[in-house]
Amino acid sequence: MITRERAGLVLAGLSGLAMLAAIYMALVYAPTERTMGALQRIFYFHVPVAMVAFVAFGVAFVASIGYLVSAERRWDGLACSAVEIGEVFASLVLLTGMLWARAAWNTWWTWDPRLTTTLVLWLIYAGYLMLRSSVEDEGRRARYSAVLAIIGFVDVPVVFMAIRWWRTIHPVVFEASGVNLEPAMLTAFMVAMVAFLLLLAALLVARAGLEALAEEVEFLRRRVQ
Amino acid sequence: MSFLRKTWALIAKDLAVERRTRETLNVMFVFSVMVVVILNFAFELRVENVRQVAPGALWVAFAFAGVLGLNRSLAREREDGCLEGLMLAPLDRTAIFLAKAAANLFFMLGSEAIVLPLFTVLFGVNVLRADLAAVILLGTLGLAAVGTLLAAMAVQTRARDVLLPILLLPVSVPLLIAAAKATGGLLDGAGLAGVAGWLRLLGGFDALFVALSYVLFEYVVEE
Amino acid sequence: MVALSGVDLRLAEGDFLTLFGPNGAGKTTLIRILATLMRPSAGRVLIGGLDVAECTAQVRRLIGVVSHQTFLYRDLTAEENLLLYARLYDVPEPRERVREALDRVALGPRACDPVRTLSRGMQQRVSIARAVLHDPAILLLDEPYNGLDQHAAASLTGILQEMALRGRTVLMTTHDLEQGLALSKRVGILSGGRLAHEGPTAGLTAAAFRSLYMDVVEGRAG
Repeated sequence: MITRERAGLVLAGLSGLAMLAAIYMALVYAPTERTMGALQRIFYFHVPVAMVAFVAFGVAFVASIGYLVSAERRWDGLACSAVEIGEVFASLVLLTGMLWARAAWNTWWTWDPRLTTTLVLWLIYAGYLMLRSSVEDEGRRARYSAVLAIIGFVDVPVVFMAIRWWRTIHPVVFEASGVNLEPAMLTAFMVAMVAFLLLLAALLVARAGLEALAEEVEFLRRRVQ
Repeated sequence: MSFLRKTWALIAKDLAVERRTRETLNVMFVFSVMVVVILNFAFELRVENVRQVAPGALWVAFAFAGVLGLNRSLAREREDGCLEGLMLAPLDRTAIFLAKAAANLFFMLGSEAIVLPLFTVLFGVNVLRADLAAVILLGTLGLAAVGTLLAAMAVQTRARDVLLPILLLPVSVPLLIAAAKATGGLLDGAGLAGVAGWLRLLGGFDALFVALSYVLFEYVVEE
Repeated sequence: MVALSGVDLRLAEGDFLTLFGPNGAGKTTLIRILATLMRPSAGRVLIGGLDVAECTAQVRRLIGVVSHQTFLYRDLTAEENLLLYARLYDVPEPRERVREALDRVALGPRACDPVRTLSRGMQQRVSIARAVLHDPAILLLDEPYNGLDQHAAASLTGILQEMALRGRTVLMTTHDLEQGLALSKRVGILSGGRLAHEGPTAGLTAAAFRSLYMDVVEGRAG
């Protein structure tokens, strides 16, 4: 029988292995890029993490709709787990982006549309976390969070469009990425992608499981009181 | 139609309260002036051409004053359980949203209108023009709609007033970019045709978020 | 968090039930659910034969609610507040009805004063007028006597007696034992989210009820 614990352990194990593979692929297997050299390898982490952050926020979006429709707490648990993890991943995107910019072009920030969109996303979901910590009533917290997660995610394409347009009028000197991928590089990238997706799944299961446990503890505590 | 009559009754209620206290408009106006003056000082010292920062300064003033107004407007419904009183009535929740958003839009536009002449004087840029009015209307509409939804949540939390700017401003980034760019374009003489792209983005944002806020409001107010 | 559990309550038309209970017993939650302000996580609520979940708007016309919150806009006058509610409830001839309602709570002369300038007792009287403006068949009152001066309390009692005479159904919650017993036909005790007792007031002395109440609340019965 597939219990949550078992699924969690399997996912954790798989993602661990996949991550090791990804690290090997990114740092050893993939050929060194011509123009940027070894520095370019950060790409194998930066881009997958960005995509997986987006996936996480997408999961939160769907879970939020699920909660508003069904009012079942597990959807809320999934949504808030997804946002927390997504926020961590978004932070990593920003950090690796800054490292890359600094090393490659001697500037801490480029107004690259994807990076800037991630920054705005980071702010939107930081708001989500602050909203949650500011509401005591569970039902209300879940509803408010769901509404905000839906608003935030629908906003993503609009934010991206606006920033991209804005950027073409004030062109930034450096192009952020437009790397032509050789087959070997593509393989490395795919492995990294899979590794981070597995990591997301493992973290989600663990975090959502924690949320469910916490809820049960709270329920029992109230019964005893 | 009963729905429209009731929505109008609610809007009239907000207008009546404001007429009696003038609280919201006063606060918004004074705050906008303060922001404009401070930005003027801040930029004058470093930037040669203050005109270049005028569009941004204008929308910063509008956005922050708007947040103040939204907070006041929704906080008022919390006192004495007024919002709950409205919810007891045989009334569509969407009517409450439309009425609140419309009233908020009205107050935001009102305070903006009063600030414009002052802005013209302080920044030496004529912002009293019809084409700019269109941009201001579109921009404020989006802020009022999403702002009403988010403020309805924010005033019910522990963090209260502080939370609304944190929620509203990141979400409004596309609107603020488009509004500032369109304003700048118009001031530079591009004409409405020249800023058509930004106007489309504004219109798109408005359509999307007015609809979304309309739908989601019920989940915010119903227990 | 479970505020109410297994509450099975039936009220016939014209009944007057007062629910007693200590703080945190779930009285407010019960009123809020009946007032359609809150959805129960389980169970059904039928008011006037209508399912609250399905015919919410119709149910809202049938009920009037009085709470310790006034639901009034402080900066508007009593008359303006009532006119708003008259419009929201589609009350015919709103201006006349509002005038009548204010006279009934003896606040006619203060009709054009902002609610802010009225005393707490007067504000509650306006709120009561608001609750009965649309002539509801059912009146729900959540600890209405809280913070009322004698004048306002007398006014409220008068209105409740009138409602009872006219065959309206009343459900009132309170933790004041005297007030409730005098007016109601039936009493109930809500404790820890459960309906521990429910029965007629006829033949029940204040002392007997008090001791029953203490028993329930201290866990000896119910």
